[in-house]
Amino acid sequence: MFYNFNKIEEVKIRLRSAEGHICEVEESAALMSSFIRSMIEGFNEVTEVSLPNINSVVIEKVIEYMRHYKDKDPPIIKKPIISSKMEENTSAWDAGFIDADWNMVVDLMTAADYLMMIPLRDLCCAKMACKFKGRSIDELRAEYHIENEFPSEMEENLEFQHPWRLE
Amino acid sequence: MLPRPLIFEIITYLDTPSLLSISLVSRNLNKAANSPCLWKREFFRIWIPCDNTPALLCQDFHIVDCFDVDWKGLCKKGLHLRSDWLKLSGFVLSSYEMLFLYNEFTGSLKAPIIPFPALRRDIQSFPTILQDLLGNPEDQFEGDFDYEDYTMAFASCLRERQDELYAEIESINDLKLLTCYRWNIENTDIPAERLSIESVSTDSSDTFIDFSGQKQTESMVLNFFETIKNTLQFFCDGITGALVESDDLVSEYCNRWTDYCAAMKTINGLFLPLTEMINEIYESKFPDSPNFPRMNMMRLMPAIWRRHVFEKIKDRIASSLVNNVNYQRQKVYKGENPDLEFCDTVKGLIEAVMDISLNELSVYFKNHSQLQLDGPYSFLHLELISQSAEYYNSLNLPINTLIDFFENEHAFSTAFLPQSTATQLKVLKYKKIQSEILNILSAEIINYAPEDHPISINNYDILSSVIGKILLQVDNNQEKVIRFLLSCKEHKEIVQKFNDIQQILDDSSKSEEDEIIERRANILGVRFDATPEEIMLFSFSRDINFNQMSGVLKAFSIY
Repeated sequence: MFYNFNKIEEVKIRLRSAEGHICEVEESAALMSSFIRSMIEGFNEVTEVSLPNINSVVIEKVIEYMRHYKDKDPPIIKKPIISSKMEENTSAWDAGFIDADWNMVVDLMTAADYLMMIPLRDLCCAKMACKFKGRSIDELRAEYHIENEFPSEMEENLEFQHPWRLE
Repeated sequence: MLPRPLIFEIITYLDTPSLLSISLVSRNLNKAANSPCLWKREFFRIWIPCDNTPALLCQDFHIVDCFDVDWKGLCKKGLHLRSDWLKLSGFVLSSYEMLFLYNEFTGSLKAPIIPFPALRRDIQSFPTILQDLLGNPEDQFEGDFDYEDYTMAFASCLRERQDELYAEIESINDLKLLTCYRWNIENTDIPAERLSIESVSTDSSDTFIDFSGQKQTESMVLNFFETIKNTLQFFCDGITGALVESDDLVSEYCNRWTDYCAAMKTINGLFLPLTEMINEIYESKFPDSPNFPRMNMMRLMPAIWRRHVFEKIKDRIASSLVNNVNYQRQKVYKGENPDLEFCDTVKGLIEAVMDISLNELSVYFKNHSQLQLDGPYSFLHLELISQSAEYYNSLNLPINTLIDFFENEHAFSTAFLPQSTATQLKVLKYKKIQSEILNILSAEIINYAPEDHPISINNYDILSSVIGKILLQVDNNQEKVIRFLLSCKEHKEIVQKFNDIQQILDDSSKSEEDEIIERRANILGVRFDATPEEIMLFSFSRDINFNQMSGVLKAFSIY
């Protein structure tokens, strides 16, 4: 792609959401996504990318992340996470950014996976892990409406095998 | 519902307790949480000292190959053990104290304080940690870092690293003080009935202190001891798993052993009150039993290591050692320099294996050429000897090249093998050369036709001296040999020479090397210190190819 260095205004990439809304983002920020990068590099003069499975709220969020980490590397989250509070696992900005409700995090995670933005996907995964960490089995089942799929003998057996749970 | 790869990603951020609960939530999560790589990471994170294995802490952990080690089972067992420890509390030690001990114990297994990192195995003469302790059995009751008298190298290193060392000494002593304080039950105001550990043990009348761990006893001390042992066995099982899956078995084994050794020292100090207590109980209970084995973590831990790590992977270690050595031999043969790094690694491995083979006596004779070690090292030794014999026999080289190669190879193998093994290899090489010479000489005999060249015994005594061997070896040419023998006028002398040779062959590994050379040279009919001219004359007078003759002499003179 021919790039004019004298041009003052940077090339904008237009992202078309599921609802058909257009969100604009600077090219340098958009390149964080390997998906968009391959679109731009694969087809010359592409300035519009259509993302039919991502809604505009999520796209706005992704763009916020892209702009913030345009010139620097996102912090790496250590595995396993040390606390169920996101602030203790990563930077304050990241923790604030990802502080959203369950559905938003899930949408963001699938979007990041689709756009191939590994750092954002990892951030979402860590956030989800935080929600799981330190919770009892029954709490988790109740919260995510999961039926107990294990037969009751097996359950007892498991209780027997996991004495530390009684601590 | 989330796609599977994403679920797996999320789960990688969880630690053991969360993983265990989440695996019980639903089938889907259970499947995701069963990935062996995940558990391997958890096991390594919790149990295995990681400063040697930075790769294992990397983010892309699941790229590392996982074989059939049950990492999840190991992690679970670790948690079981922890609850076993806590169950023991309340009798003499409070649960807080028990937890403290547990944390000290596992902490020193996980992150051992390695004394003098710069000196671990780098300076060849410096004894390894365990050998220090074996050589100085009294040391363990005194100051931990009282090694100043050892070597010059050590003294200078001590000066260099003074600050670090002092920092370590302080923390160690603090820790010991604290533990001793906790353990010193008589001095604290614990109620009298809690002090009756001994009586508990003696009351259960048919209790026998069984060190192999078969018999369960009611006594808290012994239960405690069992728990320690179980924890160690579990740890060693985990180490075995880690070693089986590692890329570089030899160096990994060395690193793990060094860490284990260092942990051994701390742990010995930590449980000294317990082991002493067991010794006292035993002494009071069986006063007549002669020479009972004194309980000692320094003895126990290598024994556990040997059974749970070395015995399980000894075949892998031996084959990887032999392959490496043969690869380096190939290099030596091509005239390249052998890998120095490799020599260090192998030296480390051999030291590590010798550590568990030595006892208080043999540690002083470690470098003796006749040292016969039983146990783990002898396995490695025999394996190396038999594989080397095969390797040497497969060589098909002209005798001069062979001798040069053996000379270089000998220099290479003494660089990392202990004296006793190197000597054995030398004997093997000697035998190979000998058989080569015999082949050459027997070829001469086979081509010999008495009607063309009448011979006298004097000219052919070099041949006659090895006739016996040839008779044994060249069965199909027996007739020719006998014809040759008959052509020699003094038959008796030949038989005598044969006996001489046979005797030398028999005790060649025992007698002094110089003596062998001299006796051999006498039999050949040349003086030991013969000049090249003399050798040439000698060989001309005997109508033997000069090259072969000098090869023969060279073969003898390198030994």
